[in-house]
Amino acid sequence: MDALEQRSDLGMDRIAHTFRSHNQECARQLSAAGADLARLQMLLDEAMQRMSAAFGRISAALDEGDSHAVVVNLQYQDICGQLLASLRRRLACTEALVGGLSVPFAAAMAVAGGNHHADRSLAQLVAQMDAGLEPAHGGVEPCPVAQAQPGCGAVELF
Amino acid sequence: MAAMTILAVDDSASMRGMVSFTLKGAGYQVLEAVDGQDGLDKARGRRVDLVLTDQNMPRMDGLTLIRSLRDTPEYKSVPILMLTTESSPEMKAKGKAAGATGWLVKPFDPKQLVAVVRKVAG
Repeated sequence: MDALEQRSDLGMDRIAHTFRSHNQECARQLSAAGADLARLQMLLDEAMQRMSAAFGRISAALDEGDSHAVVVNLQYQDICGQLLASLRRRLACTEALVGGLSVPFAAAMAVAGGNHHADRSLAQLVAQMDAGLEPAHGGVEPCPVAQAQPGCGAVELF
Repeated sequence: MAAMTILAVDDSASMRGMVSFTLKGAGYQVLEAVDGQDGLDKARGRRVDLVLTDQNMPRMDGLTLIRSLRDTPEYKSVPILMLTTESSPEMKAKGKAAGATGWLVKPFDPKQLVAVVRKVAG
């Protein structure tokens, strides 16, 4: 092997190393984004249920002429609505991130062709995403919407 | 005696409406602002006896509004209450350092809001 071939091999090693690192980072980010998407979807569902419940309470309070309950539940509905809007924006950002990551990841897979390392990474990715989705769907993670109660907030004077 | 004027700053129109409904029912005049910058402009344009502000708003948040008002001689001692969904001790400490008079967590109890306003506004 002459010096030129040796330099070429070293260059290929560096490229392969960079590719593998990039590949692993993409897989990690996709896995995290997949789990985040599932959690956001769960929060969205929860927030919509809470909003619906608040509408029901507002309706009942109006029927009873209870202005105090109307004001409290309208606020609660408003807070849930803002949270819902915020979650939707974050969901859109996460979806865009997944889309952005998927393209280079898919391209890397295509370039890798029959590369077994790349195949293993893809299998790992799917396993990681499955693992990440399960606890989120199972409601293991704390849900700020679920924690919110329709009672009134605290007051503190400094 | 003229009614006291309260500036209600919140980017949520329905929240401003509920604050306004509650305080007008208690005999106060209420001026509304859609964010911190609007609140600052309105506070500087006229005499306001108490400011009630949200924290998270576009253009200018509540803490920045408080700091800006406290830098204005006319608002050195005017009561400023935060009314926000934020309730962490860290945020409350920031509010206190910025010059807030008190902190109310949403959703507010209408009777409690009126009681607190009466207490701090005199």
